[in-house]
Formats: sequence, structure tokens, C-alpha cells
Amino acid sequence: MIRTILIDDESLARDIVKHYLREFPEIEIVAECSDGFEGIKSITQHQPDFIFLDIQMPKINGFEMLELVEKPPAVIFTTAFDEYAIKAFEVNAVDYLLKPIEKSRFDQAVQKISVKLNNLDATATQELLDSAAMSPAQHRRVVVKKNGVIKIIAVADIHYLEADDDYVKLSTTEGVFHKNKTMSFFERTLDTAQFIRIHRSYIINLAQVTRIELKEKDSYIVLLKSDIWLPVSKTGYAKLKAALGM
Amino acid sequence: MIARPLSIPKIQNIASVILLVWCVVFILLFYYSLNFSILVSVADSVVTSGLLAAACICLSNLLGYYQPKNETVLFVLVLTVMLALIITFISKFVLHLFFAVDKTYMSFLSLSLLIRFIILFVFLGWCALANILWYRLEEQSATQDRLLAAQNLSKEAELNKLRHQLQPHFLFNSLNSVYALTIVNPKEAGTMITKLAAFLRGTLKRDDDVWVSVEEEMEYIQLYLDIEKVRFSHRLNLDIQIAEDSMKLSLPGTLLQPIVENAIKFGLYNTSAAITITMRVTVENSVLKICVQNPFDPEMKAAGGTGFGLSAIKRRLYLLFADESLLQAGSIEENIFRTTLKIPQGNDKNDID
Repeated sequence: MIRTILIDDESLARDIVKHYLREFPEIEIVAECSDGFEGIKSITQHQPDFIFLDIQMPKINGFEMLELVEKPPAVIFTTAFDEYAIKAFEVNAVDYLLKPIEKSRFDQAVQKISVKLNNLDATATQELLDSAAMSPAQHRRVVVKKNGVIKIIAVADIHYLEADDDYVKLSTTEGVFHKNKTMSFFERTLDTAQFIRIHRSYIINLAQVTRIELKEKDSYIVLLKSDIWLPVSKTGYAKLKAALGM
Repeated sequence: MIARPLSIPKIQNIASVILLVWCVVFILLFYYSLNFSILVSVADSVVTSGLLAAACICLSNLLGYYQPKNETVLFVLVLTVMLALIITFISKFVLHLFFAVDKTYMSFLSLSLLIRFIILFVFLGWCALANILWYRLEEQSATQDRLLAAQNLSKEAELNKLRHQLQPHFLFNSLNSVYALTIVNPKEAGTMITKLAAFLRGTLKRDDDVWVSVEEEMEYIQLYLDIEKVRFSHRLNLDIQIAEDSMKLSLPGTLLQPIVENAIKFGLYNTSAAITITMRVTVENSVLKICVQNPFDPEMKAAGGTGFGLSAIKRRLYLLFADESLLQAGSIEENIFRTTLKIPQGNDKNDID
């Protein structure tokens, strides 16, 4: 038995998928969810083989939900219209269905995923999420999980980011959070007018800078409003200077 | 900026060749036909032609800077006569300086002044006309390019507006719902298709300049909300009250729909709970007042960044009434957002008939 979960905020949209799935008796729907929060809970609880995932949903979108799942299952995306998402799918050759969903396309996608389940490639999902992060909505916020609670952080509330093993540590107005992304991912996606990578291990929010001081020859340190000193590398100093118009 | 003819390599080459040929022809003329010494022939030809070339360059650049709108012929005539005179006398002065002892040449120089002047004048005149023609043609093609670019821009803007009006996200999701209904509830599917068609027809008719009656506008809004209600069924509740005396009043057909769309976007799309959207249409001192209220998630608003995106409507109100304050928007409770739109019913409004 192959186990699946339907995640879509519109019940009629789930109805079509359910209707189509009747012809696949080997696939069992173990849960239906109407938003990303439910989706995460349900995926952790049921550990499905694959999921049907809508992109635009209340609170957090499909991509943000996937980022928060520890071991994401295989995914068939469903979307009505989202240029950025569709671009991300095309780049990463991921299975996606456009609403209204055509029967033959649906059958194709489901057959393909049954084959794929045996050799699931987690890096493909990761790459998809990286390219999907180029959408404007995701420039403005970061979704994180701390002690089982999901939090949506406005990018402007981030003071600085610090490399921390496989994670990036986000210091914000509301405390410290971890996100399993790389520094270079954030360097690429955050607005470069607001965030500057001052060091191999640090990206800072320019609005937080209060002072820059010379520490030793050729080595600077920067003071943030939250009273934290951070080191600035030589190239970082050049970038900082340019960004502040010094 | 229009390119100067002399900045183009091909023209530079041709001009240089003409200068060279011109020089050689006159050297040969002086030497063989008039039997002057080679020194005199070369000096006369080089001085005169050199001055002529310099005058042509000046003329070309001058015409690039300034061309009179009227009286072009007179302007060019005066200019070329003056330049020709100047060259004639400078060349005479210079040559006189060098060859004052050569009596035959000196008398030839004095006698040939008039013919020299005429040749210079004709050449400069030709040069001026060629330049004017060049600049006119360049200007024409530049204007054409600008026009084309402007046309492309406006086409693109039009296309973007249409794309936005069609709300592809809403449209495709609605089509998906209709499709689902054909399977689970075919009768309802028929109703939904006709509603969607009526809504789209209404969308295509919308224009800033067209005023519609409250009655008509509310029918249109109702269609939109009905479709959303099918998509989200029990999650969307509507509480709409329209005062009887407001029905015959009117408003521009492009203002209310985006406000309701906003209420749906922030009230309904951003939450998975059941919500109620409240609308009140009233008349106050013969001003039409429409109040739309939706719940919202304060946490989402903080993270959303752009607020409630009503700036486009404010801009339109400014264009229509020169008064942005006709739109008031803000949270009235911690999680309730209210948008109030006031439409003055002056005599100056377009007739709705």
C-alpha cells in the first residue's frame, strides 16, 4: 500500500484528487489537511510515501511548509497560477499539476511517483526549495520552527545571521531561531540593500549597525543596536563601506 | 542625441578623400595650366583647401548645435557667404605674406579673388545642405524610435492591467472548483459557471471613467463573493446590508472590487478558520459610504510587509476626486480591519445613463 496525504485549503480541490485516486486502489489517503500547519503535523504523524501539496495556502505556503518538515516525502505539487512556483518546478523538473487538473496528466504524475518512491532523491527537493525562495513573498519573511512551534519572522526583524554548523542562526527581536539553510542561500535571497555579509560567518541587517571600529591593522568590528560586537572581514568591510556610502 | 555626420568613420574617410583629391586637382591646375612654380602651386592649394576643410567642420558642428526653425535658407546663405569671405581674405593674406616678391602670382591672386570666393561659396553651400539633410533624417528616425518605444511601453502596461483584471489565480482556482462540482454536484456546477461568466463579463466592462449604480456594483460584488463562497464553502460568511436609499447612487466602477478583493485576500486566504466579511452601504449627507470589514491575523500582517496594499486605490481616488482621504483603512480592533470608502455624489459626476 502506498500512503498519501492531500494538502490543499479548498475542499473541492481535494475532492478532484480523491475522485481521481479511486482508480488507484494501491494508494491510500491517510489524511487531508487544509493548511501547512496541519500538513506538518500530519506528515510527522503518518510518515506518508508522498503528498499532494498546494502552493498558495493560508499562513504558510507549500514551499515554506516543506522547509519545516524534517524528512520531506516525495511531492506532487498542485497550483492554479503562480509564475514563480511554476518557474521553480520547470527548473527542477519536479512533478506539478495545474488546476483544473487534467485526468491524463494526473495519471502520469501518479504513475511516475510510484516508480520514484523506491529511489527518492532528497537533494532534488532541496534544490527546488532553494529556487522557489526567489519568489517575492519569500524575500519578506522566514518561517522557522522552535520547540515545535512555527514562527513567521519578518525579514526586517532579523538583526543578524550567523553560521552554525549545518544551520544558520537567526538573531531577531523575538529571540534566536535556527534554520537549516546555508549562509550563501541567505546571502543570495536576502535584499542586498538591507543585508550585508560582513564575514564568512556573519550577515548583518544594515539598520542594526551603530558603530564600526578599527580593531587591529586591517581588521574591523561592528557594533549592533542589540549591543553585540561582530568581526568584519577585509572584503566584508569593503561591502559594508559601499552599502553605507562611506 | 543625434550623431554628428563627422563622428561616423565612413563619412570621415570619404571627407578625407575629397579633401585630398581637391588639393591635388588644384596643385595640378596651378602647376600645369597656369605655369606657377611647384612651391607656389602646393602652398596656394594647401592653404585654401585646408581653410575650406576647417570651415566645413565648423559648419557641420554648428548646424548640429543650432538650426533655425524658420528662415533656414537665409541663415545658411549668410553663414556660407561670411565663411567664404573670411577664407578668401585669410588665404590671400597668408599667401601674400609668403610670395610678395612673385609679382605675377600676386596679380593673379588679386584677380582670382572673386572666382575663389564663388568656388568656396558653392562648396560650403553644398556642404551646409548635405548637413541639414543629414540632421533632418537622423532626427526623423530618432523620433520614430521614440514613438515606437512609447507604443511598446503602453502596450505592455495595457497587457499588465488586463492580466491583473483577470486575476488569474482567482480564475484558475474557480475553474478548478467548477470542475470538482461537475463531479460531486453537477447542478451546482451549472450555476457556478454562469456566475463566473457574468463576473468575467463585468470585469471586462470596468473602466475608471464609467460610473455604475450601487445596485449594479453590488450585484457584481455579490457574484465575486458567491464564487469565493463556493470555493471556501462554510469558511466564508457574508453579512451585507445595503440601505434602500443608496441603491440609486453611483460610484466609479473600479474602486470597490479591489477593496473587497483585499478583504478576501487578508481575511480568507490567510487563515484556515471560518470568517465573516461585513459590508455596509449607507448614505450620509448625500455622500455614499461603503464600509468593508474583515478579520485578519495580526502576526501575518507584521510578516506580510506591504500592509493592506490599498495605495493603488488611493492613487485612483486622487486622480478622480483629488482627495485621498475618501479612503480610510485601519484596524479597529486587534484583529479586525476596516476599509471605508466615501464617494461624493456631486453634480459634476458623469451621467450613469
